[in-house]
Amino acid sequence: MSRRNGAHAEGRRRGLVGFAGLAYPGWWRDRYGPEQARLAEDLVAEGRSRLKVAASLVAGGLSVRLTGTGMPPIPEAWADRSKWVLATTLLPVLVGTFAVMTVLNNAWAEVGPRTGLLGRVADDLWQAGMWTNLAVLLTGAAAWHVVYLGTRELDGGRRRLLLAGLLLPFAVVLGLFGLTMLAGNLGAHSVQGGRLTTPGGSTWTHFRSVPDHPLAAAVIAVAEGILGYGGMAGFFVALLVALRTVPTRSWMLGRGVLVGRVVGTGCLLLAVLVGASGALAVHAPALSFALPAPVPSALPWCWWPCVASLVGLGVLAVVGARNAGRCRRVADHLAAAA
Amino acid sequence: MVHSMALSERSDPSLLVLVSLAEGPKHGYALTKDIEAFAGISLGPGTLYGCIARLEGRGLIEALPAEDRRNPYRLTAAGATALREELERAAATSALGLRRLEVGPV
Repeated sequence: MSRRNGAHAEGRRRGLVGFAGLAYPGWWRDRYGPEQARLAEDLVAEGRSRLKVAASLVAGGLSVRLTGTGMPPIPEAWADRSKWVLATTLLPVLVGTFAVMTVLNNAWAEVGPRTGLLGRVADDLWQAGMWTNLAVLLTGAAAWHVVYLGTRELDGGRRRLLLAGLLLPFAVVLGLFGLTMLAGNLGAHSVQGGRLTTPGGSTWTHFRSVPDHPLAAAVIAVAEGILGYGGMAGFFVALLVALRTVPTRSWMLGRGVLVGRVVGTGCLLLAVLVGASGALAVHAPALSFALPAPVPSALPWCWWPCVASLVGLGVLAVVGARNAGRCRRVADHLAAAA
Repeated sequence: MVHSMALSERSDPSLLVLVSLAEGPKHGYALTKDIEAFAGISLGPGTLYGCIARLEGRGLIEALPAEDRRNPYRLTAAGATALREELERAAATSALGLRRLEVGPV
């Protein structure tokens, strides 16, 4: 019994160290993988902590992925590195920017309208920030067009499947919009301030002829969640498959680098606009009589952390684009030399 | 003692690998044990192979045929020259530092 347990434990040990070895890119595993795994096994066998050995492998793998240490002079490897640098920086930047701006949008609604010249300037800067945000997100979305063009090199069935995975989530979002309206109509209504409202606070989705049905509203809300998260998960899976299967071309990387620069610059500009609007709004008097509740005299606590996050996201995108551009130049140079 | 450990931990692992290989070809495990013996530093497999890849890329070491997933490495002529220059520079710095310590602060 104890022997069997020992064998299981041994399997788990090898599994942890073996799993940590996956932190390295494929070209590294081809070159150094077997001997490095042997060293890790030897160190574990002599009594060194498995966790420490695994941590060393993970740290080494991340370092190699970031710096390209020991990468062979193969054009495909450098082009691949450029592609993955773009993917791993742009995707979090776009998702992060969307999340930060959603939080800031609610915070701005809390701040409320302001009076005087400062208040009007703050509001204009905020509006400019909203347009910049839209431009950043649209530029990021345009990057998927590059993936779409790349799929032309795939055969019909795979191409259709991939495009369905990339486009379906957007169709799901439109469907969710309709479901949200329906759930709002079926939910319990109340009258506040002489206006009909639903639990979500929306008034415009309500039709008087639709009866209250909280159970149906709850079922639809759950379906929304499943569809929403399932759709987004499907999108990321399709994107991962696209990154792996769509052939990498230099022109694709060039456009990706351009998108990275625009997104990064946009995030930094967004941080300046939002930061300036917040700084001005603090000093402008509130137009409290237009709102049902007293307007706070200071910005919500999340404001400056959100602005700092936008700066961080912008820097990440700019640095990622620069790194990807460098790798692309090396790939082009190696391909030309070959 | 604490200060000397702190300084030695800051040593470049690549230099330690070169010093170890100056004795003769070694594979990863032998390198780890040797460095542990003469420098008191336990290099992890990630750190060690990061150094090996860098040194191999710069042509300072080269791989020998593998035996049972153990790949020995040896110093190249360029590696031996680079190591000698580095050690002479370090020796000159050490000698200067020791002389100044003997004289003491002015």
